[in-house]
Amino acid sequence: MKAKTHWLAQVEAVLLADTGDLRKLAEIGGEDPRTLYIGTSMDGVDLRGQDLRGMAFTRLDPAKVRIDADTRLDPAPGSEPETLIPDPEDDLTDTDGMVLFMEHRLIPEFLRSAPRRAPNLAIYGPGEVEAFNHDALRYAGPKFVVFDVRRRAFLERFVGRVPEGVVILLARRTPGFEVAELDRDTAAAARSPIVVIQASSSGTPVYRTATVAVVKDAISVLATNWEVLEKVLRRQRVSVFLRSRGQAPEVLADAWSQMFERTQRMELRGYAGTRLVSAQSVTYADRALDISDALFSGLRPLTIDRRSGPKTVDAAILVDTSRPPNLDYEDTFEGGVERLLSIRRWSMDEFKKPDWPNATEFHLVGRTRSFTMHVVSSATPLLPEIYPSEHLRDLYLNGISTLVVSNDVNESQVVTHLIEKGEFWVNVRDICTFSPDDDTIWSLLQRQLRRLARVPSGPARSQYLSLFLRAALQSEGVLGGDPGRIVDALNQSLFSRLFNVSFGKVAFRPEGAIYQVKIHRAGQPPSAPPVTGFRLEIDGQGPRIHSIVNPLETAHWAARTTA
Amino acid sequence: MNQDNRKRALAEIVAVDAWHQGFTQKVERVDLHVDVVFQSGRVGGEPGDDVRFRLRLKRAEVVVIVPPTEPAKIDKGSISRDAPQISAKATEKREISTKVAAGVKSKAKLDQTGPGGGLNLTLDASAIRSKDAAVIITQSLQAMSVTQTETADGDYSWVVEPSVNKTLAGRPWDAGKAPRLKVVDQRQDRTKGIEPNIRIEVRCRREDLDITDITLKNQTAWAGFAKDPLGRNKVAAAEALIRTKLFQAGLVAGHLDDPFAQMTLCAAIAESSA
Repeated sequence: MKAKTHWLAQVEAVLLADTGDLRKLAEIGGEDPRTLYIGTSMDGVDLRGQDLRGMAFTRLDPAKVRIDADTRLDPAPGSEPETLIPDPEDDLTDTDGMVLFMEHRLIPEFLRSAPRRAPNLAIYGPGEVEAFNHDALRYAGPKFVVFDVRRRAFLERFVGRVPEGVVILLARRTPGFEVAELDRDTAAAARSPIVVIQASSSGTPVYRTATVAVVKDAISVLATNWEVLEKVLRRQRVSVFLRSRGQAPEVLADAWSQMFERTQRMELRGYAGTRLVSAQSVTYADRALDISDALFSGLRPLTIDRRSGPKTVDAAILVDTSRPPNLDYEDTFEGGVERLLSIRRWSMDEFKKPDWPNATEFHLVGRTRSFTMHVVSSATPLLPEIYPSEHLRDLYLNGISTLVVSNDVNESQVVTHLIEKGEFWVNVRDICTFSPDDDTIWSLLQRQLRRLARVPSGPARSQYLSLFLRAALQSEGVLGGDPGRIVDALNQSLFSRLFNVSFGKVAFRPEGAIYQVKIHRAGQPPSAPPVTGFRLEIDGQGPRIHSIVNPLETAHWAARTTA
Repeated sequence: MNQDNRKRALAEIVAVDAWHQGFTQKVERVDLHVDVVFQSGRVGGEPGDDVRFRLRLKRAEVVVIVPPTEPAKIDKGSISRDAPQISAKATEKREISTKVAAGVKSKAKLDQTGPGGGLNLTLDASAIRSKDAAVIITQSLQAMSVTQTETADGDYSWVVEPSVNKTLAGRPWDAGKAPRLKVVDQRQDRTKGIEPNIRIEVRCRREDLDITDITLKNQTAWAGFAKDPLGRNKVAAAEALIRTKLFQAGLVAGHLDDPFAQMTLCAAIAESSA
């Protein structure tokens, strides 16, 4: 081909070609397709139906191109660290496990997902099924194949072909457990145990990255404890993997409480299964172990080595869904809360179940205080309501005598129920360390504050946080500084709309925390000086305000005040 | 002939000039000054060209080469390892939007019982407002980052990378104030013979060529191209073709199939300024 001599003429020929095939386009340009694309970014290119084997790409991010089942690509060359896929011919002796991804785009996310202690894995892409099967025959360690559940037809077609001894991981981004039937059918077809990776427990699908992070944790946990867990997976056949991470200081208690809320929300109760219990003691570990006994008595405890596992996993369970659930009172939300309270040694007077399973009522008697506690397994969600400050003025947190335990308790629910009914709503995480030896309710309140201080800012949060500021002022817990501006702001009828309360730096103590608090006028940039700033120290004795700093009123916001 | 065209395109995006003070009987050690300028180039502007594109550099390496045959050596202690002094301004405008939800409900149910109800309603209405504020953050930044290193052949080099923008523009250092290194003349008698020859090259890898805004000059063809669903594939292929063709024109060592092969963009011999 020699129509025009100028080299740009060949570029023009490529642009005007009637094909999108990268191999043909290279030939039209008069260059070798094997090397032409080195150094060129392939972002946005459509590779569906193209056979690109033998062609080198150094800047092809599988997540940024369109591919389909017919796309044929060589494994990415080892030149780009982001898309590095170890050569399947590599020696597998140093490997902690083999993973085959049936969807290409999961690989970069898997490799990129937060740096954490991960085992040394040999990774295979969808184009390397044969290499994986070949290597799997001579590799005795943990072997996994990861499917994305969305591709259901594909899944059904391939699950039966996965070689024996390879664990099938089904990554699921959408919530709910309605695919359990599919899992049971595919399980029957599969010769291998199936692990369902469920990232989301609420009503919304989660990002793929979140799912991939759980896949990574599952592989890490399974690969590092392979000897014991392989037997478990074989016995259970279909397991749902869930993991949680707890907040300090009662890390494990918090992690198991979160896990309990999730399994309840997902209605994953009454099933048999295994809970993975750490062999190492963490802070308050003895207390925490009790709580997994209380909340997950139906799951067999299995001790695993936590040191070599991922740091993001404080609690993990493998729920056996191959057999239908057998729902006892023990497995209900109410049953879990009741056992949690009893291992905390609350004496539960006048215990009654008036209209179980919808609501349960306990009378809790502590050393110096007693409470009425309702357990509501599923509460009707409430729209956020912002009240004029007058409604909050006479609330007295120290005097709370009715607690309601429910799932998913947010800052709006707490305020609304407190104002409308005088009930203080909490969730299982809030009460997981609540003890009858506590002289006040503040050990519980400060746990809830810790959980809710970080919700997105807005009037609902300001309103919730103002409860704690009022409590500090009411109990004259002001140690140093002039609280005048805090009082003035809180007394404004529209406090929650006019001001934004933010909790900044926090120092956690075993019995509580110290928060750096600022009150801004709503609508001001974060760089503007606050109306007032101070520290809120809160522990079992209640809240105290100290180190108040009242910045000089600058012209900037003085002007805003008058506007 | 074609090669010349392409070399001209490369010469447009980087220029290098180098000089040192002349060696004399008394002066055996001199500063080597290297002036490098990066800029954006438009290629295909000439009549008869059917395609146009913009060419820039994402990264470049400035190499000082003293051929082994030359009677000179480099004073190791003199090699410039400092950060460049030339800075750029980065301005970031941040929009801060605070919108109070419009659907404010008054506590009508409760308020009806008391006289304060009406008042709360009006206050609620006034509280609904939206305010956008803009904060402009200006920061002084190094325009380019320079890392002193050595090439595979053992020549001293400086890798220049943009720190603010995606591509290189301007001078990475002040050639007059910041000489790269000192050269020592090793001739027995510095009054006789030829002064040592010091060569400066600017190199890059294939992927460092930034090719953007590829357009066809034929407006009709270009208008049709914009609707092509496979247009992105063709642009990627065209980009790869331009990159490869330019690379062939400047290829020094290695092969086209080596992703790390380097090309020379331009070269200069340091001149002696009497």
